[in-house]
Amino acid sequence: MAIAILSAPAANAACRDEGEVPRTVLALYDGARVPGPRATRIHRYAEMTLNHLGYRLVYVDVSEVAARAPALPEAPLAATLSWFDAPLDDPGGFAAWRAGLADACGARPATVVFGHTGLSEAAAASEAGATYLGGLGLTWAPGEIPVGAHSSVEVIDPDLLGAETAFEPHPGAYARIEALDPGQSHLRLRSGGTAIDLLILGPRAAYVEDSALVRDDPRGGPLWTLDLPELLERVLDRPPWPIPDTTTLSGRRMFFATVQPEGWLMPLPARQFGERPPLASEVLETEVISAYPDLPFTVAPLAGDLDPAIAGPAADRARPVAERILGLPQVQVATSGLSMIQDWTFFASYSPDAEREALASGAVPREDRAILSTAFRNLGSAFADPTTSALDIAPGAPRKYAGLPFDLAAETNGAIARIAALAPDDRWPRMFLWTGNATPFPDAIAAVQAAGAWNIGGGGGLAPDTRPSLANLWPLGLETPGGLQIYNALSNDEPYTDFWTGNLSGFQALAQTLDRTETPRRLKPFHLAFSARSVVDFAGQQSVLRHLERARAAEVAPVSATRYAETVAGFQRMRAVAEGALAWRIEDRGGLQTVRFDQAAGLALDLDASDGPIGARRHGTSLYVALDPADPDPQIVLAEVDAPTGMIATDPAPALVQARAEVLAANHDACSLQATLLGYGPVDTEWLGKPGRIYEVTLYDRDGRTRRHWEQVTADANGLIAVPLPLPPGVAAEVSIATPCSPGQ
Amino acid sequence: MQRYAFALFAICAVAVYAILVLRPDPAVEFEAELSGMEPAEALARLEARDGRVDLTENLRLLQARLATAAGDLDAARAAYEEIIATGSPTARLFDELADVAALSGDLAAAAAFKARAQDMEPQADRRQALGYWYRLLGDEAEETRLLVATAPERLTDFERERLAALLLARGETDAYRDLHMAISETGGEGALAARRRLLELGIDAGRPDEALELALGWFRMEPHRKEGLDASLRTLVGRGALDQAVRLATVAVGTDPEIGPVPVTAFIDTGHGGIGRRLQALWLAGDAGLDGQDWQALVRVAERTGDLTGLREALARASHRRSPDGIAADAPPPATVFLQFLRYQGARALLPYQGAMTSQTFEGAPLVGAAWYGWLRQPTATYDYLLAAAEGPLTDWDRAIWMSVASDLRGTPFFRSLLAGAPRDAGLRELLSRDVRSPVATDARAESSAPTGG
Repeated sequence: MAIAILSAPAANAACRDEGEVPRTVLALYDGARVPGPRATRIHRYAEMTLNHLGYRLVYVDVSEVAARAPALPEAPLAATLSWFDAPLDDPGGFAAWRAGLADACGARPATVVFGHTGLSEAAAASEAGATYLGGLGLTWAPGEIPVGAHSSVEVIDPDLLGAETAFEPHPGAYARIEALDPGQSHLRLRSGGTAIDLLILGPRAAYVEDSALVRDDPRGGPLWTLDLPELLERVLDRPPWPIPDTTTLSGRRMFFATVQPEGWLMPLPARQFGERPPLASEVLETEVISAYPDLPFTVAPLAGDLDPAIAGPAADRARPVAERILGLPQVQVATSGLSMIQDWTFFASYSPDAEREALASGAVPREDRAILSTAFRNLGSAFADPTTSALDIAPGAPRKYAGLPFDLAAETNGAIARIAALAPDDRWPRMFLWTGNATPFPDAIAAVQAAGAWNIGGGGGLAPDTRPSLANLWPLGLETPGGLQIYNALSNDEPYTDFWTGNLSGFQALAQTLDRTETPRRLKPFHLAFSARSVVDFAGQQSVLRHLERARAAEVAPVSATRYAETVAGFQRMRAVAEGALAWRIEDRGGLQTVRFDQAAGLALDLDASDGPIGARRHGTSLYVALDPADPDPQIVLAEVDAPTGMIATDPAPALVQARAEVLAANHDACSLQATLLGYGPVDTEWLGKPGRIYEVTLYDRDGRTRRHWEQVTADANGLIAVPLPLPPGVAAEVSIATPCSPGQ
Repeated sequence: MQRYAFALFAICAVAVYAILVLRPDPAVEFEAELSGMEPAEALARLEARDGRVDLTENLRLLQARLATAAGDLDAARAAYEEIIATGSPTARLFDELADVAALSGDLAAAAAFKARAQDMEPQADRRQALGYWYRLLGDEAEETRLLVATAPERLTDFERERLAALLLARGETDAYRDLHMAISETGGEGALAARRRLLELGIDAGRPDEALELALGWFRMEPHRKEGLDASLRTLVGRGALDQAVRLATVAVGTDPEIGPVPVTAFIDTGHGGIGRRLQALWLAGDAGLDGQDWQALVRVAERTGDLTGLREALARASHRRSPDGIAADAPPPATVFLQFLRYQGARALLPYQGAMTSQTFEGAPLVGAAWYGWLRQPTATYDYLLAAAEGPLTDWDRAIWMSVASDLRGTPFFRSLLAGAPRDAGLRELLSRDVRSPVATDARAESSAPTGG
């Protein structure tokens, strides 16, 4: 998660709690060269991995750090990370600031330097510079060393380099940097008689030269040379601590689906002369959404597409489709705005004259419109009055409907209100999907939040076999002055199909992305993002259906997109306070309900000593602990014991292993558990009890009185209880799992 | 009557024959029928027919594409391979089969199919995709072979760099050299980069004279190409072939003095001020006229070495040289020229050049204006230019000069105003605040502090 700090100077806040686990990383960038956090390489390449390891990023512009020291966050700092490409304008000031940096609790953060150190040769020779570089475990001599055909690699750590592509020395002039004890070289080149070090690790410090980081390959995408997770794990000194996890709920990988409005008015190809083909939105309704009542969909129609005054006569046919879809019980109501913004930066300071000029200069002659690229035609509306869609006239238009001047209120809360009028009374649109380049300006984010909706869009990423790099995956989101922009967890079908101009079956490769982001590490939830356009072609439709079948069959916890958004927001705020060697209190986590412990093969959740967790589950070498949503500050205690289920308890009360449902609340005593579950139809659940014990399982409606289901089950030899539950779709229900208590329990 | 019957019979026979001959091929009829069906239904019909009757190549291809779209990748691959075995496969077909293999998770097979497509019909997009797949597979041998098979001038800039890296990694130095020789003959930035690599190669191999011969050859081919000469010089110097760099520069300036700024700047920037000054003299002796770039080079020499000889000579020449119609033969000296005199010799050194300094000079370098008017004891103008100069950015040296000029206004309302103001330059703010705390003057230069009269 990226959080931008405003540069107003302020005194540092007081230390919140000495035991708080440091999970904030200051991402240092040069504001004189980079317009903001979104444009930094840290955000683009490194932040996703840091988020996965539990770190939130706070971005700090250090271009004028000597004149205006930035305010530091209250939270304790784990590290600073910089990725400069040239000396700062005030390198001496930066070196002094960084050398003296301590967090609110007086602790000094670790130092990770990618690329250029930010210092000049002169600043490096200063006292502050030497202190800063000494902390990195390196020394920097004047002059440069040429690296070329006759240079050789003298030292290379195979555990740190060659992660996705082999390291190759890049010819050029290199700074004369060498490891200085206690720093140790993990990549050394020798050129002529001189050695230089490109990767140096010291105690809580790392320096990595640019050529050992990400290698851009325009033929297919960037590739990491460095094994970033391995490096961070070495530098950040990570004993087990509760990592806020945004991929898992109820012990399963989260699944959610978002449906964007592109192509809503588009007719399918006619098979027979004279036939009236269905609209893409109609196919969406009948063949996709209605066919999967057991999966949730967050559907975001464009308000402009449904208004005949804006979209023309096609809106009259599309509007009842939207009403029907939004009325389905498995659908969460959302919107993508009014006029389908393609370029949000254009509207940050809107000028009607500028838009008119953009349309005029980008207009394609009428006789040539037949050969407009398919993608832009797709984004327009072939069925609508062709003059209503600006994209049909000028493919690069900043928005689809340009008939009325842009108005932020109409685009955000106005659109939300329009869509709300189509939806059932109890379903206010709580999600706003960003369209186009999904780079909303701060006021737009603030307007959506003020209207009571979450937002999602942009970011995402893909990792199929043909583009497998972690560098293709985006972080959780971006904090802006207007609020938090939450990124898509994974990309929709556009990059897989080249915006529907390339291999239309390409979206099948989402399956490879899902595999790659599940093992060996669960990096992302299962996010299926698509649009009405996706179902126009047989290939695209089949791809979407295959992924829905996978979601139906896989061990996932289906949730709405807002549920995911709440989890991401919770990631930003969560604090973990150590209360013992293997004990923590979790605070301020909001909607985040799972924490994860990595390298936890020999650890298990001690349910007797903990207060708040409702269960746990292992995945790979990680231990996922599920928390009771009703408990604002649970205490987690682990035991050093090798328990296959990941939990130990003396009481026979069942604990959650996994469920295809969300646990909204849980209470337990020594012999029973009562939980409120939310699912989308019949679900599988699994609990841990005592081997051989008989448990009575009762399912009630939300009122707690109307019994829907009852059975007796016997825990197996491992204590596991598999219980399928006939949950009503989209409605919470109460479950009780109890066993007779023996005296003393 | 018989004739009529015979004619009627003949007409009927022709008609029947025509009907038989012109009846559509059943396969074509079937294709037409399929095109009107929903794709899922069409695929089912094809699969039902497959194995019972031979499918034509067109129908087999349709089956392959529909199976791909439906996600039945095994069936799709079988259909494509059937076409390859029995039909006349095209490059596009191999591309499609490669996509199927990639979707199936078999990147190695995908690369093999893509390679066959590339062999049949070489295309840049196809080559780039295949090259990337080889990289993902770790197959450097095949990636190298693919790139070597294409003429260097047809590779993209990235592909050339990538091929160079692969050749180096494999120790194929001769091929590496040949690649860069070929690229060096093309135009653009890629050629310059290639020339740099060739020079480095020669020097690193202990053959700097060979590198010099290359550089001389390029210069003689394009004597006016400044960026080429600059790249060669900086590479030679950077690699320690200083003698060779000097020889190249001397030949260049001797051949075309107007190119003088290039070698002068190159040597100054790389820390060889003495050589730069010697070349400067050679250049000025032969150069017909000075343009903006020439002045910049002269300023650079003065700035880095403190030697104002070149600037003096240029200024003296500029003031005397006119074309027959009275127009100046040289570009006017920029403000930074006079800043060097101020820095190294103080405001008094500007006196011989007061005729060359204009209001534009002072706007371009307000510190010069401040010092000049300070020397002339004109506090109002001094103050105005000090304010302008304080907008920065200023070097430490210039800040010291600024403080020195400002200190001459001590005791006047102008000085108090300067103390109360907030200059944009952070360093000045710090110096001024120190001055407030400590009224004792700083040890700034005193060049401008000795009045010598109007």
